[in-house]
Amino acid sequence: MINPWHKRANELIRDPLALLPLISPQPVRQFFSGDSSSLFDRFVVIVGSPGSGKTTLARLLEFSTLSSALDAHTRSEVRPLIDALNSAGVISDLKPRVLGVRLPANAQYRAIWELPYSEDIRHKLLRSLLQARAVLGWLRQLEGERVALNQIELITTGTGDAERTAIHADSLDQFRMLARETELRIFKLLSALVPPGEAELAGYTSSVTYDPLSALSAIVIKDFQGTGESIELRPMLMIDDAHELHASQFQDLDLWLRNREVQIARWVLTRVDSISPSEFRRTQLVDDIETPLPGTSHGRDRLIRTLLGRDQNRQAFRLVAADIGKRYLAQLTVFANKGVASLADALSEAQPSLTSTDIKNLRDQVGALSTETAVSQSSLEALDQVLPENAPEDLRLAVTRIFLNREALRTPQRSLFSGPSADEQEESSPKKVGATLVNGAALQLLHEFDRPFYFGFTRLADASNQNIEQFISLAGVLVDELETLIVRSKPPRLDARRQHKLLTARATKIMDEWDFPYAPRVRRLVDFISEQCVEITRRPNAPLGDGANAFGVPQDDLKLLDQDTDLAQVIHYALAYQAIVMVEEYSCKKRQWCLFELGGIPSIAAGLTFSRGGFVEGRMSQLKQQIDR
Amino acid sequence: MKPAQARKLIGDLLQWSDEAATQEFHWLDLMVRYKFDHYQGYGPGRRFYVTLLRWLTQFDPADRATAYRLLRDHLIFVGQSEMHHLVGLSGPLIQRDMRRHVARLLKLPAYMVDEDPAAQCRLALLQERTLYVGVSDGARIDVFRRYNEGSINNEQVVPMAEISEAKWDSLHKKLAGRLKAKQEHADAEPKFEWVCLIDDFTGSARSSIWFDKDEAKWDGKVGKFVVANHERLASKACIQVHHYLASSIAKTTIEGRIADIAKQYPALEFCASFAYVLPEAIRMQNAADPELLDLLKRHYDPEIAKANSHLGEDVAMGYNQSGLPLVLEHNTPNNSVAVLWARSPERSGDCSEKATIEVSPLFPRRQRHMDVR
Repeated sequence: MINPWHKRANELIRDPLALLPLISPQPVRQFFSGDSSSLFDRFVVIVGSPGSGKTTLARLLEFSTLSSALDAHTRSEVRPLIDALNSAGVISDLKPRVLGVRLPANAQYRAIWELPYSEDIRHKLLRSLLQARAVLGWLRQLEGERVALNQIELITTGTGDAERTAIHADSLDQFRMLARETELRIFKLLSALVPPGEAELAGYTSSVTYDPLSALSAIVIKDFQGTGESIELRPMLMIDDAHELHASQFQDLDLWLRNREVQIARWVLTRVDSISPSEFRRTQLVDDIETPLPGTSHGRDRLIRTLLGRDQNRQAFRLVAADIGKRYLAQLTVFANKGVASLADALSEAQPSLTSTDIKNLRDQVGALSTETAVSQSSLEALDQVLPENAPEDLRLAVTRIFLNREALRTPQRSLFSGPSADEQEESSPKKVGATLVNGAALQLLHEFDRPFYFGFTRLADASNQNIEQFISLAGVLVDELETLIVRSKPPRLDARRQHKLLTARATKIMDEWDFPYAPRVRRLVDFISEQCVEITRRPNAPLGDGANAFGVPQDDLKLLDQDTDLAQVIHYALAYQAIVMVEEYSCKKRQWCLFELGGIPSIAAGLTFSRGGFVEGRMSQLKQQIDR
Repeated sequence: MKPAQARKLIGDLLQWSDEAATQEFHWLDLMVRYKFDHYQGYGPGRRFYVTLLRWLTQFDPADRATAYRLLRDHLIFVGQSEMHHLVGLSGPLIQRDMRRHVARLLKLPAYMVDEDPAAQCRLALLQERTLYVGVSDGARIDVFRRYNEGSINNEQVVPMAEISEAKWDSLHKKLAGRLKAKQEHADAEPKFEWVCLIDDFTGSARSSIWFDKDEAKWDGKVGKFVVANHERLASKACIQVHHYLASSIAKTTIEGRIADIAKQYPALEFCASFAYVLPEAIRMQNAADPELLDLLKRHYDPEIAKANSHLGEDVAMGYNQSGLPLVLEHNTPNNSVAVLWARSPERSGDCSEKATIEVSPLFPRRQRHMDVR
């Protein structure tokens, strides 16, 4: 079987029963939180970077997956998922409520754009092909669950008989036949060596105007599963990977599916690439936005949902990561046989230690500094008291060094010939040393002595940018190493040094493999931000505690993005592929800032903190200069 | 043996660090599943991992990592799907040579053959009067026929190089019938004017074509076929020697020898074609690894050559010193380095025959030629 840690591609798993154990209920619950009904009564665009879980979500909502989940509702690994789907209103009373079909926007749909017809005709062909395949997909899904055609009743919108007649809603056989014919005719157009001229398309008129979506409102299944009961399903069309379409096709889809007369649920799942930089930026600020296009109402006719996520509360993703870790480990017999169920248990959190030479070196530095700053022994002892109890000596020394450097900056210059004045002898004695400063000290030790920093499950989860694929990609190298330990009959536990080495190597490799649009310029941007952040992180007095991982520009500087489309594009792709995360309207020092925060992968590669908020102040023009370099 | 257990033992034998083991286990697992376990020389219950363990154990601990480098960095394992891919490439290659031949006959540029009606007609006749002969059981002539369904008639394919009189009569009769059925070819002489002798692999060209000085006649599969059948073919017929896979030495040798045989049979034309030629750089003599080269020569039992005298005096680097690191899924060629395929012969109980070294192979070769002892 496919090792899910090596290749997470849920679309490759055909059997829903094999897919279900790999789906964590946490992200599903998170996605449907709030008023989930709006996700089914209007057009929804779901935006996410690669690996954010778009396809998994669409696969989950397909009728066959829902039915399999319901069949297996007693299984412990599926029950939490059933609860999540129940809360979302996708199922109720252990019966599905939506009839979802996922249509990947493959090359065939894009090929319609290449046909030698007017734009209008090409868009109509795309709409017809999508609808024909949606209809065939719904019927296939139902038949896959042993629903006979004569059990199915189509409910139409009731705007008139003509639409009902046009799609043969009263005869399921004819209804399906029409969809098949439409698909076949358009397929023939696409596969023709020389497509017929536009004038000769008369024979295809019915295909061009095929429009069951606006006519259908529900599908009723009589005698569902032999219970004698009828269930009403809301048809649902999910167009996956819509970024594969031509920009004009995407725009037409957007216009078409916004139509509020359409009563079926319709989702378009896409990477960030296909929405405009300004739209994407707005999704970062507010979850629900709408941009009325000419011809669409100013009402709430479209919802954009992002799967990128940048919750202040990282705890939620840590839980998701832990859950996914458990589910994926359970798929590997080597781990199952050894009883290793949780990744967190296998990743040691024990603090590493420097070599005795390095510790001596550090001790000497602290000694010299304490003499120079004339900090009393009692103050140093007081500091030692407030350090975390389990902090090893090297970390204690590093924190002390930061404290002494701060003290050195605080103490004014004095004459060569006079002793310290009475007021100078007052030393700041910290009441408590926070985790931020301890992390800052650990990061300084990383840069200075190569002391491991990236270890333990929490940091692994935090490095993943709340992206499941990124988590799996990072964790995969650790899992491989753990598997080796199990195979070699060693305890399945990785020490801090090994974890750190594997994760940094993986992060560097991922960055080396960046091949998305504008990747070389994005890399320059990331390198520049990294350099600035490393410099401030390594400053002896650690002014930001655990340093910075972001470059902040005044919010007003963002106007430059509207004027400079080239700069906007580079930043757009950096955001789309999570090289950086943009945090707008961040308040600090009584000003509004926009932070360009490094993603988890570049942060690991550069040796920076995952904590948020620490940033280097700068201007947008500096970023532009780097990108144009 | 369970793969996990085998991997553990291999890791221990090679004294891999955990880091190296993770990388190597990953590679081994992939290759074992995709290729090595499908080697047809293995018996039931004893597939790659067990063989590898035994193979590694025979080396001194200090030499094991060097021996493993042969597997990891040099080995070329041609699986069934890759060989079938080469078979698939062969039909179009042969057709291309036929087009060139027709172009020469009609004094046209080759690209005009598909445009010119007379050339098209001549090409069709040539294709009709073509015989495809599998010269060994490795020729996969059944696969070749299926890949070329529609363009090659079943009656044009013969699986054996030694064709009986009765079979020739039948082939000629059926050819005459096919020609008569087409008005434009009705007057053509019912004799084959293109014979394609197909084989899977040649490492040294020895079994394909060579001149036996003692007997003063051409030998090898191709040589024998020409000697036996040259009079049965049409005047100026072309013999095409086609291999799916060849070493660079074999390619050069075959091309030289068909030039020589052509002088002796002026009524015939000869050409050679290859779906893929392994580059010269793959030969172990060219590997920039003196340690490994030394091991290949050192870890060799001279008794192997004695037991297989047809191979020559020293086959440590393979027959004819070919030095190939090659394994084919159905067998390992004797042109490959001996450490891959050779096993020390069984000794009698006599103490004087006590071996100084006893070797066992990683990919045991099924011998075709057995010396009568």
